[in-house]
Formats: sequence, structure tokens, C-alpha cells
Amino acid sequence: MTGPRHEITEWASKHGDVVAKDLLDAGSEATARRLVTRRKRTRVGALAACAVVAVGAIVVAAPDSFGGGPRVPAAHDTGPAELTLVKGEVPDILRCGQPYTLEGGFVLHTEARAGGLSGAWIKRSDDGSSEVNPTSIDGEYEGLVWRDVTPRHTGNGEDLLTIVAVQDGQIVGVSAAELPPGVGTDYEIPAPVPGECAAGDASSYDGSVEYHLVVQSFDKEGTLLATAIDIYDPLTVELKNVGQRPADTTRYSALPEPEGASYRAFVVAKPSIESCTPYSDYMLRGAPDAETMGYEVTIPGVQEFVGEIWGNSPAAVIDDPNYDAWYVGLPTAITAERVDAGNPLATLEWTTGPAVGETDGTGQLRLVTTWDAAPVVELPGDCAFEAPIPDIDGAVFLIIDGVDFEALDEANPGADFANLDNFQTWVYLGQAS
Amino acid sequence: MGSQPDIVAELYRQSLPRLGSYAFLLTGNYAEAEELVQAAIVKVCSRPRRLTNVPQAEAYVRAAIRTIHIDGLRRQARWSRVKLSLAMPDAVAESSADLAAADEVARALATLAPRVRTVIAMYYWEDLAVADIAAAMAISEGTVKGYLRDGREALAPLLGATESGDDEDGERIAVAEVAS
Repeated sequence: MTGPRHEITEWASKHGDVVAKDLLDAGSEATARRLVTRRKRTRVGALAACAVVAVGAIVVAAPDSFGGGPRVPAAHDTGPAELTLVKGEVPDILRCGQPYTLEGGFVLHTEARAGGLSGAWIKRSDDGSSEVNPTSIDGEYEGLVWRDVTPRHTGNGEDLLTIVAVQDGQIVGVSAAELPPGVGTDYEIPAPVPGECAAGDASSYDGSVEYHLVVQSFDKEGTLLATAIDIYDPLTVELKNVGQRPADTTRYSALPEPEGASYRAFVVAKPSIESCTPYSDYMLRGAPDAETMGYEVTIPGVQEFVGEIWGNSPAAVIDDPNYDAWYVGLPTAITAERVDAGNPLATLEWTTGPAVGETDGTGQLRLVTTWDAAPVVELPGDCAFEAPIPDIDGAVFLIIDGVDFEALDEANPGADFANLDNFQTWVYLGQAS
Repeated sequence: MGSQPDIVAELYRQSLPRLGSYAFLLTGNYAEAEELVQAAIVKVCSRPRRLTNVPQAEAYVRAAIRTIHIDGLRRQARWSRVKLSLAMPDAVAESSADLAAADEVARALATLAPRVRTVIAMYYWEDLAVADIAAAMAISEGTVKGYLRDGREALAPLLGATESGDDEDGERIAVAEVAS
């Protein structure tokens, strides 16, 4: 067999062997286990700080205009002697739970030249939106990064950048990244969300958190050249909702599982969306639990959710293109207990035509992702969502912008429905895995 | 092999070369490929899903590699190690004639725009259809086909003259057609 596919596969395989060997030689399996353990612990805990530990965590580019340039402090004769620098490791004094004792300063450990950094803080929301120099961040899946970091020293080694989160004098989060000098600009360094490295009540981290940047420059032999602490003024961020992670597994464990095409649905108030973070707003204000008033909704043809939803994968397929039900035609979205990247509140549409990525209709009535379907909630401003949900697990919900009051009345005799004008229906579709 | 730590071990033992191949094809350099594979394994194994066997886990990791990489392209940001695609480690440069030829492929791939390269990788290595690539990258099928044309044009002198027999979904465009 010849041809591009064969040749590219053969070629890639040779390099794949090199990648595999490098990973094994570097002890990457142990590192992966450590990160897996850490992320699982974080999931179980009160925060979703996945953006912090993901090696490839990246964010939407923010506007190019930033206020102020880098502040390069004058060299100090005496540096932070207690900061024992070990390349690739976070020094003990920068670990969670330790008091933060470093003072801002700049130390030349050799005659090497050292330069500055440029950049700005941005807030990354779980829907991919960003905000430059934010004054607050939310809990849930949102995180903070330092954008547009450009190492400038002229050595051939690397810069180790450590971002330390400090609250009440205590270190409550640490993240680090190695950056090679001179080959690239605009790096984005994930900043730690407090609580990622500690057990207990994460809501206690609500309030002011101060972020410090520590930069250590090494030459190619790994010799420390310079240390800069707070080359920018520390950033103080007001945290809110840190402890609120409604996607905890236990929240949905009591929901009745679907029986055939019959699904348990809940009546939930439509949230007031104040930002481009509909998922957070929904989860914090509107997500149902077992106590929420509900009723049964019949939806035939709901597809199995196996963890990935892409543009042309229908959520439901009904063989009868003329199938009619109260929810057909209403704005609909799909979300899940846990969503990785992409649009966590993907808009769906009942259609007999083609889905995104298709060219022909199917003669079926299908619930599919579309680009221009009516959203289940109006968003302020220009909120860009570039991709549908790419990866989900846990409880999956269909959000329908409407309520079947007849069925609701039947299921809840005597209940007061007078104020349900602005309510929606959450249909629990079961668990994705 | 039911527990997740075993899956982690088996992924490293059985799947690493295949995952590394895909990541290298997508990224074009070893450091990024290694980090992509590592990040994908961590991402998949951190999720509270039930991974029952290695092929299933490998499929998840492969999808995660794709997701992370596309996410990175879309957001045009990198914070990790960046090395020029042409700067292969010595281990490759000093190797056999085959690998020297392979370096030509690397150079050709390095000339491609990242999105073009990604389409090439998804199409040829992962064997995804044009529609699936379009959906995954949130771009139109026409754009995917355009990227494929660009990629094939750049790679044609190195990868053979035609693509006959490689047209199973009817959407693939022969190199000869591209060249005309």
C-alpha cells in the first residue's frame, strides 16, 4: 500500500516512538499519576481548578491593549536568601499552607542580564470568554491566567514562572510553568484558584486573594541566573462563589433514572444572565435537584451519551419527521454535570434538515446542534461560543425554554403555578460516561 | 485491569507510540507532542468515567489530544515549551537515510499553517471524514477541503504522485486534481 495516508502514518510512527521514549525516560507515568490524583482530589473537593493543572491549559486571546508596562525593580544587593530555587520544583516556602514571606525584589545571581515581562491578567470563564485585568473571579470552572508573558533574558536556558495565591498571609495556591527564552511570546500562565491544594471548606476562600509572580531564570546548564519577585505589582482579586460547585456528583445522585422514553423533568427558574458565563449562572442559580417540582416528559429517540458531543451528533432522533410534542420548536439546549471546554450550554434545534457538518436532510426529526438556533437564555453583549460541547460526563440535562403546564398540573395537583412565567424545563436524560 | 491506575499503566505500556505519533503529526515537535499526550492522558484518567479496557481508554485519549490541540489552535495561545518544528533533536538528525527522508516530511509539514496541518493529521492519521473534521474544528466542510488541498499540494512532492484508492468517502480530492 502506498499513498499519502500510508506514508504519513509511517512517518508519524517513527516520531511517535521518539515521543514515547522521551515520555518514558522522563518518568511521565509517575507525573501523570500524580496529576490524576490531584485532579481527582480537586474534583471531589469544592473547586474545579482543572485549568490550573492541565498541562495544555490555554485561554481565549484577550484584546491587545494593556495598561502599563513591566516594572523592573532595581537590583537588590541582598536577595530573598530563603528562597531556595530548584529548577522544576516549587520551593518549600512556596507551598500551600505556608506563610508567604517573600518581598518584592530582583536579584542577579550572576553577571547575566535579565529583562522583564509584559502582560496582563485575564479571567477565563468556563465558556471561553475572557476579561482583561478582572476585579473578581467566580468559582466553578472559571480560572485566572497571566497573559502575554514574554521572557526576555538573553540566556539560552529557561525561565521558571511561579504564580502564588496568597490570602491572609498564607499561600493558598501555587502554579508554575517553564518557559524557554527567545522562542515565542504571549505565553499564558494559569494562575491557581485557591483551595486546589487544600482540603476543607473552599468557600472560606471567598474574598481578597493576592497573586504574586516569581520568575527564576536559568541558563542552559540549569544554573540560576536571576530571580525576580513581583516584577509586576501583585494583583489583588476579589473571589466570589469559590465554594459553589453545584456539579458535585452527589447533587444529582437522587434523580430518578429515565424509563424508556419517559424522563423526569424539573421546573426551574430561568436565570438572569449577567455575563457570558451562562453555564455558571445556570448551575449556580437554576440547576435542579431531587426536591425541585417536576413532571414527566416523553422524548423518543434520545441517543446514548458516551462522553463526547460534536456538532453533527444528534441528541435525539425520531423516525417520524412529523412528530409533534409541546417541546418541538421551543429553544433547547443541552448541558451536563461536568463539561470540558467548548460551549457548555450547546444550543440545539429540532429539525428535519441537515445538522452542522451535514449536507442532506435525513427524513427524521432530530435534535441537533445548530449555529443559529434560538438560545434558551439571552446573553448580554457579544458572547462568542466557538464549539459545541466536546466532552461531558455525569448527569445530562436538556433545557427547554418552556413548561408543559398540563402535565405539571397533573403531576403536582394543587400546586401554585401563578409565577411560573419565566420558568424552564430541565429534562434529566441520565448519566454520560 | 478494571481500576484506573492500571489503565494509566497500560496506556503508557501499550499506547504511547500511537498516541505520540498522532500528537507529533499535529504539533510537529517533540516537546509539544509529549505535553499533548501527557495532558490528554491526565485529562481522560482524571474524569470519573469508567474505563474498562485499553482500546477504549486510548480512544478517549486520542479524542482528548484532538480536543486539546484544536482548543489551542482556536485560541491561538501557548504557554508551554515552544520549539520550531525544524529544530529536531540530534537523535533524529543523526539517524538513517529513512529518517533523513522523514525530516523532509517534517520540513514540509512545518511549512503548513497549523490548521492545515491539523486537518491533514485528522484526515490521514485519524481517518476522519471531512464532515467530522469540519464539526470538530467548527469550520465549514469547504474550508476543510481547502486545507486538505493546501496540505496535499505541499506534501505531494514527498508523498507520492496520486492518491488513487484512498478515496473511500467520495470527498477526497486527488493530488493530481489539486495540481492541475
